[in-house]
Amino acid sequence: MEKTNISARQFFVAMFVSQVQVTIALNAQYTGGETILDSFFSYLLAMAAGIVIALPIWMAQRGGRSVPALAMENLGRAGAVVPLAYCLYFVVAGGSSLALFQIFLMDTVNPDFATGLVIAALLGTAVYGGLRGIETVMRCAGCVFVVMLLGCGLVFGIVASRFDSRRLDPLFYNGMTQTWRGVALFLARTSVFADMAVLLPQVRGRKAWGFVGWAAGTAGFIGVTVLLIAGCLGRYAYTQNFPVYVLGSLTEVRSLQRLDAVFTGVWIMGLIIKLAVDLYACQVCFACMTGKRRKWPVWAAAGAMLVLALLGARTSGLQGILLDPKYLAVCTLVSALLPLVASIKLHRKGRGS
Amino acid sequence: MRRRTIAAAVLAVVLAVVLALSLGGCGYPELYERVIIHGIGVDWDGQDYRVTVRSSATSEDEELFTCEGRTVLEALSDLSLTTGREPFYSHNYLVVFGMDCAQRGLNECIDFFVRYYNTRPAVKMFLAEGTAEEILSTEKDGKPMKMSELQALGQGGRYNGQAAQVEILDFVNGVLCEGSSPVLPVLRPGGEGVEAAATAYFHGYQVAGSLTREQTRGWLAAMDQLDMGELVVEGEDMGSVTLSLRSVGGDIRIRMEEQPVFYIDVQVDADISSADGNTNQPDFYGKIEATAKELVEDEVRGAIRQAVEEDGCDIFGFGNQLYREYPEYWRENGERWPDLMVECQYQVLASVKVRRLEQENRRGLGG
Repeated sequence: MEKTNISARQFFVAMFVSQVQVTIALNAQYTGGETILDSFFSYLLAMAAGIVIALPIWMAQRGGRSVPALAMENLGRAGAVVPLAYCLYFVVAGGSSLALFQIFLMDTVNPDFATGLVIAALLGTAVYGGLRGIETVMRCAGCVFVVMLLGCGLVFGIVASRFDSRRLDPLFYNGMTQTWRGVALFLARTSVFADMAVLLPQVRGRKAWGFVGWAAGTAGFIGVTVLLIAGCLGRYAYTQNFPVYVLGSLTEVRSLQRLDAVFTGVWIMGLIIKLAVDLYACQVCFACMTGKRRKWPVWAAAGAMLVLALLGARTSGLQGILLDPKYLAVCTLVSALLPLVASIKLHRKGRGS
Repeated sequence: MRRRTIAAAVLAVVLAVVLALSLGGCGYPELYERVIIHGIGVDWDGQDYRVTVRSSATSEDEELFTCEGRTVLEALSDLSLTTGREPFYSHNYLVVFGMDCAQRGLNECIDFFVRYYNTRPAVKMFLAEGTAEEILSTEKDGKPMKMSELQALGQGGRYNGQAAQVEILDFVNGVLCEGSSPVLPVLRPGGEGVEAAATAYFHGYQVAGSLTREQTRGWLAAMDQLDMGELVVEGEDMGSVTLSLRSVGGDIRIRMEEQPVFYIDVQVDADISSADGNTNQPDFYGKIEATAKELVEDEVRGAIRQAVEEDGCDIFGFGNQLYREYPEYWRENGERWPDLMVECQYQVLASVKVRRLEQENRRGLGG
């Protein structure tokens, strides 16, 4: 395992930045109903499930090895299935995030936008970050975190003046169906578990507290966002594909109007960090299989993400699969089962270690 | 190593050029090639939508265009036929719908303003007493009235208390929210440009009736949307007294009996701005307060009677409050709400407090 110098704080700040894009791309279609306020409870339930999912990852890493490394050690050649599965997961999760951003550009910003080129540029930046290594990405994530908090704080602070409690729907009015769908959505768009499985051994410091802080921080962010969407937009939010963007477009301070660009900026920054971390994780997975750190896995994973994103945004069938929370949630759950698979000792060499 | 650095530099330059040419706007219209739209009026002529557009190259120099089409967007797209420029909607301040449109139902023509990527939810929305074209082509001081002035008419309601301020966001919420009906301020051409004449309320997307200015004030007060305004109180022994409303608060509470009972409380703080009668009579202030209280209550009751009881439009959001506070009741009765709202009881209670600062000062000076 490569020795790096990133702290638990840096790692979970980067995970927070990656997770923010999940929130800002929320809409009624994905949450599966009109009472968007229920989504906050969906997230809390998803976090409760997340602790259960994180436990085997934690247990598997007690020896200081990543889950892919552990799988290779315990299962021999057959163990390559585990790093490959993680790589596949990162490619699908990254492709899905990019496809969603592309849809946003085409649907809400400008249909004539050269979206393919934009996501290629984003991916290019992420590749650069991934190749430079995890420390570079984490340092960048720290800066992005500050800018993101300032940007979101500005937009949320201004738009809060439009908050009207009369627009809030009663909780769980349509039963729990939407809440469970929301849980699936949040699990689907959370790749922190796979990131932890691959990268956590490179992190120093109090990781458990970092994870708790991450869960609490993202829950707080999602709570505020969902409350503002419901209280400022009301049912209008359900007519929009990207309600948080609409929140941004409502903001105005005298001649400074329409801070929707802040929303786009925040999303771009979060996306780059997420992609860079995922690409680096792909490289680590391949290093576990081959024993050497190479650059080509980063390029290959980025190429696959790009193809998936381009096809996903333009092909309705693939789009349905890529963005349907059910499928990605299953992927997340499967990725969480991999530590258990990796812990099975089959290989003779692994028994003694 | 050096070869790699050169390759990276070349790649960076190529990428920069590609990105600059692809994203930087080459091929996109320049500002002068766009029709920057400031106001849109939509009328229905029985077959097609007739769209009136106020636009400009600069905010000082506004132009007027009209175009027709089977949909609003088709009509707007025809703008480029007459102007040779591309319509640009991001700077639009307001939308005015003609009465014919509202009678037919706004669902078809409002969709564009909700769905289209370049439109904004904070655009002000109005209804014309006649046609929208009339409103947008009204002249003031020999020049077409500026759209920014027209936009301010809605905001003015907060100060004069007689006009509603509605954005597309509010209207859509009024239609989509449980137990509520949307409203729109009604505009008509007057001697000095355009004036807010009334407040129209809707059954879904279709106009159902309108409130007078006084009823509008009652509605605004009950909805806690009234900031200030003037209230003229008249009585035989006190003449005409004009009260300036300084602080108005409205609150609606529900008590569940056999049928829900709604309590509408309005608290008004006011100053005397002018009085033409005898202000030194005993309990002058008490009389004003009692008369003003009655007046405010009448205005609120008038709005409830007209919109809720007669036309079945829940512009106060009574049903919505039931939905939020008593979801179980709403689940069972929500669908019957249009019938139920007529049977419910509405208790209006206003309290008016006239500041006695002037009286105390006068005594002080007199003493």
